Amino acid sequence: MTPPISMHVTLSRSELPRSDEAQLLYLLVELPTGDAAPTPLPLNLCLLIDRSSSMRGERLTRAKEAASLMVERLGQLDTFSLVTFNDRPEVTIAAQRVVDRAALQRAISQIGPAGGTELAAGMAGAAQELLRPVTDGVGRMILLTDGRTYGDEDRCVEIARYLQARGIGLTALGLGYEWNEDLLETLAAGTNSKAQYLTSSDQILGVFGDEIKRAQSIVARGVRLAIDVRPGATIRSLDRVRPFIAPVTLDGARDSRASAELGDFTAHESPALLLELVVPGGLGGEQALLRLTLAYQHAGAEQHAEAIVSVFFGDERIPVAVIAPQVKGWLERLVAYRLQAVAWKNVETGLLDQASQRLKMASTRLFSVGQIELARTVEEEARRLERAGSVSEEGRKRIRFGTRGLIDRGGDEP
Amino acid sequence: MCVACRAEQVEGSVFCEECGASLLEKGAAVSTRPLTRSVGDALREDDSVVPGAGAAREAAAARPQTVPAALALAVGTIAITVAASGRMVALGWASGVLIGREDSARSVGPDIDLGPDGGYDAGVSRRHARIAAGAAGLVLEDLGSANGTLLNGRPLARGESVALERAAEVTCGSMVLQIVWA
Repeated sequence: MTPPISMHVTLSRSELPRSDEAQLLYLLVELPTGDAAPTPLPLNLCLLIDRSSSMRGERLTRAKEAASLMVERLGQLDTFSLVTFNDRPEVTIAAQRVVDRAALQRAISQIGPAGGTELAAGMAGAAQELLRPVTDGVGRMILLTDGRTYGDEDRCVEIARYLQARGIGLTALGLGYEWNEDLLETLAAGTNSKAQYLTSSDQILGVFGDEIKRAQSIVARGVRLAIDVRPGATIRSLDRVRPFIAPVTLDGARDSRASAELGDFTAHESPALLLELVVPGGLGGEQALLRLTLAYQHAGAEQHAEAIVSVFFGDERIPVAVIAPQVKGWLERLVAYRLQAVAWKNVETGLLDQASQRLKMASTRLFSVGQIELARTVEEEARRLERAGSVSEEGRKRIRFGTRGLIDRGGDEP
Repeated sequence: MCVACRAEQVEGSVFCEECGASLLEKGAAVSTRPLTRSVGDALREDDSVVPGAGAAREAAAARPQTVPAALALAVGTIAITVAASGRMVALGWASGVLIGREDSARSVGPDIDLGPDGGYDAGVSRRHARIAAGAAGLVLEDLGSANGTLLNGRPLARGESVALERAAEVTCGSMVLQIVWA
């Protein structure tokens, strides 16, 4: 029987030159789930919808339509709740089994816009609903907001971490360009979580649909990757590159044994990681560099997969420019993401020249991998920064989320 | 070292960790400004750094010898010209000449530092090759470099020593050096 998750490792170079000096090797670790059958698990979903005045009109209408469709798609064993918030939270639908769909949809239709945006109170209300049912199902909070909360950001992060530590993921959807991307990215920097930029309210329906589809097609839960490296080698970094770019937190020692929580995997996906490994000098011939061990739950049982990665250190004169193209492509996107992230820090500390240089280089990298439209946006913002000393809110969001593959459907192959 | 921002890089890096510049592309080394006097157009090659030692080998084999035979040198002196940048360094060879890339962290200080000429992109090792006095003139020795050394287009075996003619072309990785000595 094919295991639910396979492991394919591609090295930036299939052979390394024998050298007395340390060398950097890049590994693309692909973890396709293939045709593995999802294990049906009850869902525990909570929608947290911003109903402040700025959501009036099309935005709230689309959000309500999407919530209503979500109710249609849930099964009788699933639990659903809906919390709205403006200056204060309101539990529109308390956590309950999806039995009387019509009643749930009536409650959704009565949501109206008013007031400001106080996110932490809303999140606390949603957390309470998510923790109410006693279930070992898939817990997710889906937050939709178009505004900026003030003074309660730390509390928001605290609530997100509390839920993530209990396996409950958060999808934070920012609509328009007035929301706080720093906060939403921070909230989503945890297991089973992501922040996404919606440029138009027309996308709400599709994104809600994707969320439910993903939650219903989980094939492996609590995926954990352990990396044992040979003595002298060090892990420089580990990043998720597919389905979207995000740094991965490593526990343990980077020069012996480190591990990372990768969350739940869904069917028909091919998540991928990019690992940067510093290999010690003085090695010759075939050498094992590291062991990758994947552990996860599938169909109620603990499963394991293991791969030992070796490389040949030869006398052959290897051209320095020969790099596996798929590794280079993902690395180039990752470099663009990192450059823009540092550029925004440069802007905050007043280093505008450096910020502009980094954005220009990010644009070059994006052009190189064929992300032409995004590359132009980045270049435009670099020029704006030089000319006016500031960037546009919209451009900044497009760059931050675009480089990660988190605008619209995102995640194209390079 | 990244030619664009001078940040130190681990061998084998594909992009500069600091500025994001490609460390593989041909253009990465082109922006290097010659650091000392140029020996003139007659000594320059029309191509700059060719990525890849294999490509360099072919290019070196096809390239006409442009060694400046007429250059007047004092006895005991060697003149090394970097073809890509036009930079020339003349120095005494009595105590040997180490060619490579400077790395102060590892206490590697070659006599001919090819770092500023785009040596990293061209695959030059920190301790790449040495020229030293032999029984019958000077010898060129490959120091176990990662990307190899060529003498007049012929690759040296790892660690091999060969006699160095009075006018010769030496390729370190893909970086071409024109050498005359007296």
